[in-house]
Amino acid sequence: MAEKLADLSPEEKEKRIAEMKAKMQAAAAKSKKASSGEAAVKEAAAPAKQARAVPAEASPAVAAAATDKQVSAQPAPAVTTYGAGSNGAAGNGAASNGVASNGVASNGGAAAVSAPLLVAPPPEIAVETPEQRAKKEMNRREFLTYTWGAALGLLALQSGVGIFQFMYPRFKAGEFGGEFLLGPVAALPPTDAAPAPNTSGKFWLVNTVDEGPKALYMVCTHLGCLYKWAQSNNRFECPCHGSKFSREGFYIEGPAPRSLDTFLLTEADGEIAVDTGKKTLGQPSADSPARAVPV
Amino acid sequence: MAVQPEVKKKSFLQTILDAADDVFTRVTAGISAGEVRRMLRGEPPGRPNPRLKPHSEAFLLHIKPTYYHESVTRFTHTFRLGLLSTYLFFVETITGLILMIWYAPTPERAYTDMIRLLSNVPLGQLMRDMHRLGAELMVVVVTLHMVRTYLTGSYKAPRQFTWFTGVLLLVLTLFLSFSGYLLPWDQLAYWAVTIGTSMAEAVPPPIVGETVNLLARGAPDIGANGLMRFYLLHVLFLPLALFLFFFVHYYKVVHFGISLPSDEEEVGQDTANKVPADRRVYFLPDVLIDESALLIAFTALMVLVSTFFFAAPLESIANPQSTPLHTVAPWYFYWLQGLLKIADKTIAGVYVPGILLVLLMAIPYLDRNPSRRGRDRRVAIISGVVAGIVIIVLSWMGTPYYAVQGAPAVEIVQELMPEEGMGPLREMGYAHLPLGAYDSRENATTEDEEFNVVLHEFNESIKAFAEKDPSFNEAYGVLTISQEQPQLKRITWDINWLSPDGKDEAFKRIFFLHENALYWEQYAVKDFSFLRNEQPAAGE
Repeated sequence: MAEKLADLSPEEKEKRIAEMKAKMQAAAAKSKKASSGEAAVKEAAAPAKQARAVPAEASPAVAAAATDKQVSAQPAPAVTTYGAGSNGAAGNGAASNGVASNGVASNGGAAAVSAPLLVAPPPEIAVETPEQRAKKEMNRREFLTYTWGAALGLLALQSGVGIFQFMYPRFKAGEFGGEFLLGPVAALPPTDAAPAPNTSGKFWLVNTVDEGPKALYMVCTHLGCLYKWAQSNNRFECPCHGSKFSREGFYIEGPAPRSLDTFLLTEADGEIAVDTGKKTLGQPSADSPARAVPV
Repeated sequence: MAVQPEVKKKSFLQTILDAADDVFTRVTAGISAGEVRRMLRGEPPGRPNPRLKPHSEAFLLHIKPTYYHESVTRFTHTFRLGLLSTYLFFVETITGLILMIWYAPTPERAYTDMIRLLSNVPLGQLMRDMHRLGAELMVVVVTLHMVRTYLTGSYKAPRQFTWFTGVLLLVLTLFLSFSGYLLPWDQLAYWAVTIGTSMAEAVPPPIVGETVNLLARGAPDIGANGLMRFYLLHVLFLPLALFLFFFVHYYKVVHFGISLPSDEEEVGQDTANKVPADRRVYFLPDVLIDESALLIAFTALMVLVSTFFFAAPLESIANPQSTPLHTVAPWYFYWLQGLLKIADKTIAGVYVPGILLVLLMAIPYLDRNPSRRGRDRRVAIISGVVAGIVIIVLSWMGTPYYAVQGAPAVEIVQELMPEEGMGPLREMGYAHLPLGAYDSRENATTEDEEFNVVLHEFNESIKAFAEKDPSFNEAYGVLTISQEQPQLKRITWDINWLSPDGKDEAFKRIFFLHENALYWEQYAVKDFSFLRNEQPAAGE
């Protein structure tokens, strides 16, 4: 404060105090309107609660200060923390009428030191001055730092994609994933024969009455175990979790979610070919015609 | 002007001793040999207390608190489970490093390296058994540590984040243990990990699950690429991650102090860091001696158990063409396997574990009850116990005893002479297999008592299955033992029955047993007959 209240004449002092009270009331009314929407208000409310909670401790000190007509700096910190706005504006002279006439709620630390205000200090709301607004706007340094951060993020993303590509398995031609030639149609097993395994192509070849020859992917649709042909039960059985499939690859029972997957089987010029790169997922277990327990 | 101190003449010996003590003090970061003796005699420290100096000056001790509250140093308060978990990680690192000397992560070498380690490297089997035992114990100890923390309510404010990092450490421990599973490259390893990675395939949508699986396995199925990837996860990535989170966890533990027994403070209070002077137990020397004594005893016990009782299993070499009967996940994932049997793969393999994990991490943020006392936490403790029981039941459901039944004939032979592992017949050994054909309808007996037991079991289980299973009628079995070659017996299991439509059905399985087969090695059974100067049990 440029001038202390104690240094002023009694009339001046009274006038000043009345002026400040009016300001306080205006600010209080305004803060009510703004309610809890703004963070600034919230911030202001918290210390206010604190002040209310400890009136017994705070008031004697304040009362002493008031009787001495001394505006000591000591209680001030409790008040100046009310709002971000007061820190900026208060020191610059809340007393100057320019600020007051704008209805700005900033008040000097000294003004708040009156005892009743501490009991129920009005929360304060900050109205931005042009300098403050300038502060909130992004300056060049901040912008560059964000750009730098974004660049780092992009780099991390690129590294992630790079690692993904680095880690992704590579497939060789002529191995599992390619085409397998199985010879002429006449060489197919009869429709009542046990399924024949093809280990390098990872499929069971089975000839069926209804659908013709099928190439069943050797891996159980449940958790990737290799199911086995159980001749005595005339079905496929998985040794891991007990899924069962019919000779044609249809789900019978167990935890498997769908019937066996099949590879594309084609016939060209009487030659049978299985493309292990083209897999058709089996029908969901619920739709399986071989299902043991109807849905 | 300073007065020159009177120069005293020191003896040569004294000079040497002083110099030695000086070196000693530097090495211990502030504790002289005399102070060590005073500690060991139980005398109080001098002032200023030189025993605090290593905590501020030495790197290794700076993370340790200088003193603890008397109540938390009682063994029954924490059971030192956190210390044991850390120590087990240390044991795993050391034994793992030693094992790496004789191991190459390729399908061509991995399994033969295991055999060489077991049969040709001094202490090789001990190192492998200790590593395996330590890994399983670590899962147990970390879980118990978490149960203790839950039951004493120690996860409550301000220790929420400590619990959070603890759950991360549990997950890392499980992954670390599981990733090591594949490395021996035997059937057990290969198929357990195939099942484990297939669970990742269930992550929706399918393209994501399939990609995750491809990245983990390095191919559509596990091969050389998958082995290398799991090896790197096991020896580098996961230990480093665990190391990092361990320090976050431990920093929080030291920062907030170990929570006191709940009756020693008011509800909602946390006075762990305000230790009254008369209740302090100093790290040097009391806690240090206490902890090292515990760890030495623990190490001795581990060596003892892995020498005489525990053996890491090793089945036959991984065969991507054949899944052994009754393949199971590691025991700490039985509960997940149980879930997978009763629910859809995506739900049981991804959603349920994911939700459980998030819930576990969020416990301190969900439980708003400020009290840590058992009588105020009935709901929390009862739900904890219920969760424990559910896990145990699910684990039982994860074993082959629940809902995985093959054809009766397969199960009968699997029980007595499994495809992998030992079973009662191999356990008896070569010597207890009298030659002949034994028909279950005749209830034949032999002079060998041990063999009679197995024979009886064979007959009984055929009868039991025949009563139970309608498609297994008029069943009988023939067990034939014949001499295939000198020192090699052939064991033939024949089971015949009538199918429901009256057709004759038969099941046949042949095994061979060699006189000098080292089953302790292959089937994890230790044979100490050589100590009694006898022939190995298989011989005679």
